[in-house]
Amino acid sequence: MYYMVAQSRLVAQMRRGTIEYCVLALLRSEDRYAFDLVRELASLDGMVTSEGTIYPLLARMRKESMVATTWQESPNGPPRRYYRLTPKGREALVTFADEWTRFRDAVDQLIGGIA
Amino acid sequence: MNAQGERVLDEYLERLKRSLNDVPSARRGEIVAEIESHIDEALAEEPDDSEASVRNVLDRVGDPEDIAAEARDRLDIRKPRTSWTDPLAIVLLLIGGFLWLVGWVVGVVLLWLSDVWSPRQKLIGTLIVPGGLLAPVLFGLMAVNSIGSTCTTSRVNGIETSVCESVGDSAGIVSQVFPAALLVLLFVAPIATSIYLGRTLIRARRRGPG
Repeated sequence: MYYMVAQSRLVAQMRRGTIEYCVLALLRSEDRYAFDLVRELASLDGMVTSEGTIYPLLARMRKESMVATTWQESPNGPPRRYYRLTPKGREALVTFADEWTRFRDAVDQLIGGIA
Repeated sequence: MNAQGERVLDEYLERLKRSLNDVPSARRGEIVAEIESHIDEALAEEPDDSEASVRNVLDRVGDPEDIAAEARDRLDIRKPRTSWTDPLAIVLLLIGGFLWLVGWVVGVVLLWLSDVWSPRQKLIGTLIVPGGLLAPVLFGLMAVNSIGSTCTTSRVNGIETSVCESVGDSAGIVSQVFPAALLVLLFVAPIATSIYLGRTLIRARRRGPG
């Protein structure tokens, strides 16, 4: 029982840790407004449980200059805040992608074929 | 949006702002504004603008407390640890002076050891007013002694004659009004400080132990 709890906590922590890089990856090719970002993340299995929790993360990423924002007119409704990748964010994404690939390959070598 | 839906939304946003009240105001404003426009965008995609639609959208956005917990975590804001000594500190700062001043000193120590108040608040608690309510009481006693009359007693042929002169000229009125105003200020200031510190404590406790 304890083991199951610990495992689900691990999965939650893995999501928490990686979601920041998923946001950076979504911004790699185009600027997006937050609602659009959240919808993309939510469409990935289990990435977002409650949509509102992404906003504190976005606020922090903006504070740390991983992303920058500009207001743009929307075809319908009030202007939207668009997020774009900064050079710092791009660098962080590249570094993470490299680490992630090595980590994933190493784990895959051991547990590949079990699931 | 119908009136009922609007009420539900307003309540939600109020709750969100309250939950985020320990987040620095610039970040709080940003988070609330972004969630507000998220809700607007989500509502535009709902089949109608009934109360049910509003509630569905808000369910997906999530509980304000969860969002606030996430904000505290992501923005490195620690919940203060409250202690039973916190209310004691406030009481001692106010009336501890009457315990030979030692009580007030203990209050200051507890104040600075506490996790609830900011350094600025601790400074206010210490300096306004040192000794708490002891300060106006002492000051009041001193003022009463100095105001009044000066008497000179002379003894002529075994008969004692007292001549008393009350100090009450125009300069005397100024010197009496000023201490009175200061006295009121000395009474009110420590009480105001206690209320101020108490409100912060109540808010910290409402958020629960961290």
